[in-house]
Amino acid sequence: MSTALPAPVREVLLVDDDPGDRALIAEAWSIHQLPARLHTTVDGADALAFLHRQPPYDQAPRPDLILLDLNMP
Amino acid sequence: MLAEIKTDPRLCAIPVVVLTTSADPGDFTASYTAHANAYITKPRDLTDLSRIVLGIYRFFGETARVPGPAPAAEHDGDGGVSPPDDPDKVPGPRPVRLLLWQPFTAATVAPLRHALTARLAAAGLTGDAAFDFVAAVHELVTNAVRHGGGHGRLELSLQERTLICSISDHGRGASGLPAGPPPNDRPGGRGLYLARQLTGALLIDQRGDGVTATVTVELPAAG
Repeated sequence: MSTALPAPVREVLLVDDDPGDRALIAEAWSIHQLPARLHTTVDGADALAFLHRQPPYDQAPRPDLILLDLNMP
Repeated sequence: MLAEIKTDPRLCAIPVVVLTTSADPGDFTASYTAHANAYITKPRDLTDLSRIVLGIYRFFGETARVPGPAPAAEHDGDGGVSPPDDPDKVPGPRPVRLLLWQPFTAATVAPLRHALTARLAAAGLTGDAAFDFVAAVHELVTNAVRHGGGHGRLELSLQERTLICSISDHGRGASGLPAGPPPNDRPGGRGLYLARQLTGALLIDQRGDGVTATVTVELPAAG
C-alpha cells in the first residue's frame, strides 16, 4: 500500500445568499457530524474574497469542495 | 460565480456542486456547460436536504478523488513530518463538528457573545464552566478588536468531548501578545492572561498576517 489515498474533503465552502438555506445546510452538516469544516459566504464577492484570501478571509483554507447556490444575484 | 471559479487556473480544479432551488433546464445545462461538477435541486425541507448533503459528502468526501490542497499553500510549516498512525485507531482525523463560524467587529461583539453562549449550551456546556469560557473568549475577541485590526473571526468546534474556540485577527503582531502576568492596572493588556486563568488552556499562533488564539474546554461527563 502506498500513500496514494484519496485526498480527504476537509474544507467545504458554501456560497448562498439565503440565510434560511445557509442555516438548513449547516444544520444538515451538524446532524451527520461530517468530518469537514463548512465555511459560509453570502454572495459571489464574499466567496471570491474567501477563495483569494482577501480580508477578512486572510487565513481561509483552500476549499476541497464548493457548494454554490445558483439563484444569487 | 461558477464561471469565475472555473476560469481561474488557481481555482478551477476545486469541485463545485451547484445546489439551487432552480429546476430550470436552462440553468441545468448552463451549469454543466460552465463545468459544474454536479447540479442538485435543493429541497425545501430539512430531512430531504440532510439526505442530499450526506450524499454529496459521501460522494466527494469518501468516494470520488478530489485534487486536495494546492502544494504551495498548505501544511503549516511544522517540518512536514506527519505523526505516525496509531494502529489502534481507525485512520483519518477525529471528527470535528463546526458549531459556529462568525466574523466580528467591535459592533458585533455583544451578539457574538450571545451566539457563543447559545451554542455552548446546546453542546452541553452550562453554568460556571460556560461562564468562564465565554468570559475568556470575550477577552480574546475584545483583544482582537483592540489590537488586531478592529475585526476578526471566531470559530467554535467540537472534537469528541472537547470544545475548541479560535479567535483570529489581523493585528500587526505583538501589540496584544504577552500572555504572562498582566501589567499592573492596565485593563487592556489583560486579555490573554485572563483567558489563560479562566480556561487553563490557551494556545497562541502568531503569523505575519495576524494572531490566532485558541482556547479549549472539555464538556462535562454525560449524565
